[in-house]
Formats: sequence, C-alpha cells, structure tokens
Amino acid sequence: MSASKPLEDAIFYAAASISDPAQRQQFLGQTCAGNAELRAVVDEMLAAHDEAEPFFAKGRSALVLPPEEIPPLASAGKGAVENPKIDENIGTLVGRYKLLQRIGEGGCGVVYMAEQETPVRRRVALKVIKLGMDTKSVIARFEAERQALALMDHLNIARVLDAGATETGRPYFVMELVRGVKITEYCDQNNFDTRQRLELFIQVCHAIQHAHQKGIIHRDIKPSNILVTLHDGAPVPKVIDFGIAKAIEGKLTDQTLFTAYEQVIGTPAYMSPEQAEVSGLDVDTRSDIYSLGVLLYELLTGRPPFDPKELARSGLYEMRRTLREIEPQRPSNILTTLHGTELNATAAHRHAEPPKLISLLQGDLDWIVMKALEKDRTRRYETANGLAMDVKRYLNDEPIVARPPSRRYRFRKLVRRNQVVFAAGGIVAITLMIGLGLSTWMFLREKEARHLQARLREQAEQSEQREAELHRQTEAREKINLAAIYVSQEKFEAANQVLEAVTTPPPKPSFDGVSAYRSVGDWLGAHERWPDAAVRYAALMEIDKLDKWGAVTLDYQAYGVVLVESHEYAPYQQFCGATVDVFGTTTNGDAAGRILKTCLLLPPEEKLLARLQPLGEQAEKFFAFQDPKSDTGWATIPVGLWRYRLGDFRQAAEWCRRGLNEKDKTTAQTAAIRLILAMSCHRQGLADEAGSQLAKAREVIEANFKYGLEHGNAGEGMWYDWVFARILLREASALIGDGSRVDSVPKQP
Amino acid sequence: MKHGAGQARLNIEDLDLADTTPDENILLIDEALSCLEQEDPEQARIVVLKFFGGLTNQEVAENLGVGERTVDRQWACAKARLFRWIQAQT
Repeated sequence: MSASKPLEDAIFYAAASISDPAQRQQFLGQTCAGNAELRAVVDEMLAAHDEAEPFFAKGRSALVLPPEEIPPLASAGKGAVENPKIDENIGTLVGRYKLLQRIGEGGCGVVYMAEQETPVRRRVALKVIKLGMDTKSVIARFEAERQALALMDHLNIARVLDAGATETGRPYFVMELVRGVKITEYCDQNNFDTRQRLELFIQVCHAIQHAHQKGIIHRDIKPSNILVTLHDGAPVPKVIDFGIAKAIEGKLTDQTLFTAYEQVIGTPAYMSPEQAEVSGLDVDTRSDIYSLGVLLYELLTGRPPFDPKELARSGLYEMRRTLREIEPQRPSNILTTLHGTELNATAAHRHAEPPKLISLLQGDLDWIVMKALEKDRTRRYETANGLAMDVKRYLNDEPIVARPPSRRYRFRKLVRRNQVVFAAGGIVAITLMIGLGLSTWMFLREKEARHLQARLREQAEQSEQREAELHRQTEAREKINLAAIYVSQEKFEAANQVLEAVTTPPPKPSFDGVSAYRSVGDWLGAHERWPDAAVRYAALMEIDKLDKWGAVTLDYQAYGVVLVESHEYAPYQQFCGATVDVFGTTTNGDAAGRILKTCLLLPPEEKLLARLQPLGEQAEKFFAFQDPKSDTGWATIPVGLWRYRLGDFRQAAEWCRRGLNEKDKTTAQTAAIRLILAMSCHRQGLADEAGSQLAKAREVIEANFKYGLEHGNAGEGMWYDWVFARILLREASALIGDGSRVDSVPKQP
Repeated sequence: MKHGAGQARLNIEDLDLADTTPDENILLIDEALSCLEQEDPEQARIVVLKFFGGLTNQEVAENLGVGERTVDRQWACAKARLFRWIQAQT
C-alpha cells in the first residue's frame, strides 16, 4: 500500500459525508493544504463516488435474484409456519384434495396426507411449499417436467401426481403416499449391518438411474427424501420429491438460505459443489451421483461428510468454499476421530464392533464413496448404475472400478484452486487468490478460459517433470550407495556394473558414494581397464567440481594418468587446461605438486607450460624451503619434472639427485625420479648417468608390472604412481634407449 | 461496438460505460479489483464479501472482526477507487 492511501481514504470519506458543497471545499482546502497530489486524488474519488453506485448496482443485479423474488425477511422464518392465514387447515379442500392429516415437515414445506376423490379415490401425500416464491413460475416449471415425471414407473420411486396452487397462492404438489421412515433412521432402528445397508442403497441407485434415463434429475437427494416401507415384510426404499427441487429452484443467496434456517433449502450437506455455486450452473445427473455418495457416506458412518450445522452456520460464502475445496475425510478415517460412546453407538447400529467396522470400510468402500464424492464431476461415477455395480462388486468380493488417485491426479488437486468451470452459454472461471484466500468470479470468454486450462495443465506437467528429475537423481544416489557397499565388500566388478547404470551422477552424492567412484576407478586402473576407468573418473570429476581441495587433486592425478594410458590425448589436453582453470591459483603446496605432475606427464604445449609457471614456482619454493634431509621425497617429482619440461636440465637434475637422497617416497616415485634424472642427464650429455638411472628404473618398473598391478600400497606406490612411472619410462626409453639422438624427443602427438 | 453474449473479447477501450451490460460491469469490477488487491488487500477483501458475496455490512464486520463503520468506509473508498480505475481505462 502506498503511504498516502490511508490518508486519501480518510479525507475522501470524511469529505463525502459533508453535504454542503462550500463546507466540503473548505474542508478539502484545509486538509490537503500544500499537497496538490493528495487533493487531486481525493477530488477524483469524490467524483467517482456518485457515479460508482449505479455502476455497482447494475453489476450486482447479475449476481442475485431480482428483489421481487427475495422473500421479505419479516414474513418468512418461523412465522410462516405458525401463521394461520397462510397455513392450510385440516379438512379444507386444496384443489380436489381433502387434507386429512399433517404428516410432517418436508424440506421446504409441510406435508399432509390427503384424500383424492376424482377421477379415482385414493390417499395421497400433499406438500405445500412455504417459500415466498413466485408461485406462477414454480407451477410453470413443474408443468414443464410433468410429462417426464408421468413416464416414471419404478418400484423405488414415489410418483408425483399433480401440482397446483392453494387459495392463498402457495404452490403444492401431490405425490404417491409413502408410509415409511427415513432410510437412515430405518437402518439404525433395525441395526442393519453394512451389507444390508448396501443392498438398500443399491435399490436407491436403481431408482435414480431410472429417473435419469427419463431425463429427470432429482437435485435433492437426502435421507428425508428416501423413505423405507415394507412390502410383504421386505424393506423397500422409495425416493420421493422428484422434480420438485427443480420447480422451486431459485438462486441461492443469504436470504433464501437463512430465512428459515436449515429448513428452507434442506441441509446443504447433501448439495454437490456445483449446485452450491452462485451462478446456478446447469446441474446434471452427476450432481445426483454426488448426493448419492453423501447418502452412502452417512449410511456407512452415521454422519454426512460435512457437518450440516457447521455448513449452515458458517454463512453462504464459507459453505460454498467448503463444498468446493475441502476434501472430506474418508469414511474409515472419520470413524477413528469419533469418541468412544459415539463410535460404539455407530458401530452398534451397524451390528459390528468398532475396529471391525473401521477395517470393513477401509479399502474398497472408502474408494467407492470418495469416487462418488469427487469435486470434479467428471471423475465421479458416470451413472447411478455404475455406482450400484461397484457396490455390488464389492458385496461379491469382486474388484471394484474406483481406484485411489494417481500421482498425476494428486498434482491436479494442487491446482484445483484454479479450477475452470464451464457453464452453458458463457464461461465462468472460478479462481482462488491463494494468498488472500478470496474467491473472485471472473467472467471470461471461451478462448481465455481454454488458455488458462492449458497453462494449468502445463504447470502440472512441469511439476511432474521436476518430480521425475528428482526421482532420477534419487535413484542415481541409491545406486552409488550400493556401489559403495560393494566396494567395502571388495566386490569391485559388481560395483563397477552398478555405476555403469548411472548415466548422470546426481549433485551432492554422499561421501561414501564419492569414494565408491574413486575406489572403482582405482580398481579399474589397477587392472588396466583404461576405457572403463576413464568413464568412472570422468564422473568423479563431475562430482569433484563441487569440492576443490583435498583428495580431489589426487583424483585429478589419477584421471590424468588414465586418460594418457587410454590414448585419449585430446581429452587429456582439455583436461589439463580445465585443471589449471580450477587450480591455477592454489597456494596449497600439495595440490600444486599434483597438478604439475598431472599436466606435465606428457611434454606440454607452450601455452600450458606458461600457465603452469606460478604453480611451478609455488612448488619449488615449497621444496626448496624444506630441509634436505626431511621427508619430502615425494615432492621432488613435480619440481624436477617441471624444470625438465622448461628445459632447465641442470636444475632438474639437481632436484632429482637431492630427491633420491630423501626419505618418504615410494618405490614407484623413486623410479619416476630416476627417469627424470636420466632424461635430464641425457640432455646434458651425461650419457653414463642417464643410462644407469634408466636401467635401474626400468628394472623396478618391469618387475612390478610383471606380477600384475595391485592397488598398491602406500609403501610400494599407488597404482597411478606406477603407471605414471611407466609412462615416463616410455618417454625416457624413446629418448635414451638405444642411444638415439637428442633431437628425437617425442613431443605430444 | 456491440456488447452481449457471443463476443470473443472484451476490449475495455471500446466500452462506453453508460452502455455496459451487468455482466460486463462485473468483469470490469473484477479487473479493477486485481489492481486494488495489490494496493490494499484488506479493502479488496471487503469488495469481494460485499459485492460478490452479497453480505451486509454487519455480516462483513462480524466476519472480519472489525467495526461496521470501518466496513462502510472501506466499501465506499473501494468503490470510488475501483470506479476511478475503470473510468481511466475506458
């Protein structure tokens, strides 16, 4: 919010309530003194203020019932029932029906038993609607359906016979008289177990199916509209009030909902989400399926999925939101939330023990109910028969159709809040502003709505892709850990196989995982399986990129050796360049030494050599600084080799000689030093020394390789030290060997 | 420009405010509301409850835990601002 907004609002509001224009001007002059901008905004708001009202009113008119259709609050409510002028008296004639006895309160009216004289004599049920609705249109709407209603002929459906208007102008409906009890009450009274309840339920589904086939949607399925009577001792459920809900249907507003508290529209608890919507969406057969789902839920658990009192109490806005958004608890779940006595009572009415009841509902029954209760009507059962059949399958222990939601579906639930609902004619998109928890009705045209749908689908897919990627990475990590286990068991071949399957190493593998790569790489190197080793080390390089120091430079060293041995010269060059990129500025003596060794294994290009200058100086400083008799034998190689590559043979030889005298170097390293020395001597024309050093080195190296390379140990030399030495041996042999000339020094091919 | 059902797009600039259908009014109010929401979420919320939800001042006040006078003020300011925005667009 801009800083000035509250001020603007306050001044505007105060000014608006000043009716006298002169005073208002004065007020504005004072409060906005010196602030032209503020004055301008307030002036604009005041100008808008008057014109805004009709604009908003016009808009509002499209959202609500026209005033005539809203029953005035004063006359509605409890008064409507008690008022003797409006209520019909016993014994009076309503149309051709004589009222005999008041049977009860229906959803939105009073029900009487009446007697029909002509054309046949029979007892009927007569329901007078007590809402203050436009009787003419109610009757008209009913007439429209009358034909279809007349075609219905089903054991489980109570026929609607007639409709008319009372003297006082109230609409009434005449129905087949059903003497029975609400289905839920009936089942409880008789302690019907789950199976028996399901069998009753199936019959109800058949009735609804029959009606749907005739094109009639009930719209108001709830326990009080399903009465159970006895035919020859067998319970028969009968669905009543067909066609009435549509006839009296109006748009839901606060007024109609709260006029007579729960009585008016009946419990919203049974309303499908689309029925509750303000736009009065075209409700189809699937709304009935939803209500059937609620019925089933109540039959199984003793309560509907959403508490009716809560729904009515929270206000229209909240009610819609609940129905639209809140996922109800699964039947088995809700039982677990009940307190002891409630749970016991519920179970007793179902002729079962609490734990047994819960486990009975878990699984298939849960899924059947939840499928019928889907917010998205395309995901519900298509037909009442479909629902009935699944229940039947369950009773016969056959596999049901309803399935638990797939992962894709769960993702779509995440975007459920941005659901696009299509209405006949225009398109209504209901979007929820997540941050504010508000809902706005946006009237979009068709194109825009489809666009939104596509975007949402895309979003869902992207989320899926991201999840898939994470999944892949997790899999990779698991494989690497498995490889680590194999390594610890010294099953290197197995570990190698496992790592082969990992195509992209994930970021941040575990420490064990990294070691696994290294160990397997080592093992492969020791067995001279260069191509494989190269691949492993390449992966290790990828991982190492995240971790600059320590064991990593050892890896680089090993990798360099591997690349050369596999004759991968171009990659090797690239690798050297990349290594210097990463480590070129290290001040770590160890690291510097290893980089030098790695990059100078073969005669380097000038550019590379130049880039290694600082490293060389670093290593040399480090080396020179050491006490000649101390344990830095291993450090000889980098500096010796470096000087050699620079062409500074005398210095190189000097370093090497010193190194040979020092402790703390492996046998392999000694061999390497000898070779560097040999080459340096040779270049200085010191043939004898060159020859003898070469011979000594060759002897040791060949002996080692003769017996097969093990991993090596710290004393003898790691495998890569040996291979390193061998590479140098080749170079030295080619140089000196049979006394060939100086000028046939092999350059990098 | 003709208004009414069947129109592919609502071009705000082409609208004559005096001539709009109720549906178009709602559209405009909703668009304006998205802007107001950025500026003053509280006020925007009141618009939704009052205009779209049809709640009375008292009901809104109860819902949001504020005084009725506050609701009245916020609603008046919101309407003026929203309409001002709508006027500016057309």
